[in-house]
Amino acid sequence: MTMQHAEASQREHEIVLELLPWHSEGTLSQAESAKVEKHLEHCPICREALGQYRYIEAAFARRGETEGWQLSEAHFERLLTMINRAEQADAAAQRPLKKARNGQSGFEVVRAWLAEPITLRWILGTETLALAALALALVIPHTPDKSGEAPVFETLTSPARPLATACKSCLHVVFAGEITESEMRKLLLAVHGQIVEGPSYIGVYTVELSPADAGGETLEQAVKTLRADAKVRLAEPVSPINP
Amino acid sequence: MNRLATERLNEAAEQDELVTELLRQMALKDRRAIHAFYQLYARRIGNFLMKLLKRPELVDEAVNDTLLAVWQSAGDFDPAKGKASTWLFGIAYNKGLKILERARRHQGEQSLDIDPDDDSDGGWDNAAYAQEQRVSFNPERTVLGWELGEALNRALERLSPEHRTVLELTFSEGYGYQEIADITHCPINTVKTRIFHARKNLLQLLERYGYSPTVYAQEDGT
Repeated sequence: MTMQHAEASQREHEIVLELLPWHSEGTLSQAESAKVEKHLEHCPICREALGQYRYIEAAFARRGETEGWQLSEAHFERLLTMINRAEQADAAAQRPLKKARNGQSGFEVVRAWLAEPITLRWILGTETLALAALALALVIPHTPDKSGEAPVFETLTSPARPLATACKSCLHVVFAGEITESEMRKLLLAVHGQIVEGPSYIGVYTVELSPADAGGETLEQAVKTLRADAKVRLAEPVSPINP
Repeated sequence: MNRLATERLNEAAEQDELVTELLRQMALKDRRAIHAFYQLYARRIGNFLMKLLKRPELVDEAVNDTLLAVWQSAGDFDPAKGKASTWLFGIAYNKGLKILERARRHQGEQSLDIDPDDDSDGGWDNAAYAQEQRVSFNPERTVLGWELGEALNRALERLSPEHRTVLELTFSEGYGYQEIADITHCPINTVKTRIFHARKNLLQLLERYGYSPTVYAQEDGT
């Protein structure tokens, strides 16, 4: 026997020896099984090892089932509690403001915001406003008015937006929280309108109809079209429609 | 491949299809699917973890950790990458090991083998062994029968979790070496080395309890 042949034979012996547990269990491929069978014909060491694995296999087969683990409804209930807690934690972690920090578009943030319960929205909105006002007060230095007139203070709730109040071809629209961007676009195209303001802190958009469609009848038709859509919660003309 | 092995593989394949379907439904967050999955599969996972952890209260926890992870990541399972049962056992094994590690830290429990891939006898407790011998050893008990199964349980408890796991997955669950490598996140060669040493240690223990392959061969007529 040459040195090379001896080495190859030894290598084959090692490979087969490693495969024996699974030969015993019948989980080897056909090619591997054939290789093992062929080697076993002339290898007493592997035959002995196979006998040992079969002995272990027989011991496993004789093992009782008494030490098994048992299911129970109480155990399953605990699993459901864990699932509920995990899902609540996930939901809390996916709040819209956090998503916004992760690169969500402004539109998506607004949609998620609108989907929040009203009370929560108001609380968060009020807190945000208060913080913004405080930050402005601290950052902007006080500059006396050169005209000598007393400064006029405006709050975010002041009805001082000329466009919204004066616009005769404008509508106030509140969309449903689940509306998609494409659905909103389709609706606006249908009424020949474009968003000129909003959303406000309660989710109101101001939609202006194109000048060609700004007549009273068309405005009324646009209101009807919008109101007929399930994804529109509110559609009202900014100014009363002239008869 | 023998008939028993073929039947077992066919049965496993059918169950795997069912589990795959349940995973699809769980990915859609269907609570009925997790209940059906629990009824169908939790016992198998629990029994496997029982052999790793040995304590029912730890198994309760590990089963629920496993099923929660399955519920949360059911959508990640890709049938093209492997069998559902292999994926599930991989999760169960990981969760079981984490709990075992925590239990060891808390209780300072020592396993038989420090290094599961080390070819040593792990230095088992000879005093405990001698005590056990006085209780259980009896030459007449070397006759084969269900007592061999009992001796196996005692011996397995004294092996390291890694050796116990590779033996359980091979001889109890019927997995091949590639699947065991996937479940335990080990290279195939590690799996083969572990089972080699596990066999050696297990046979030594069984022999000390009065059971040897030679006697088995004579009694079994093989």
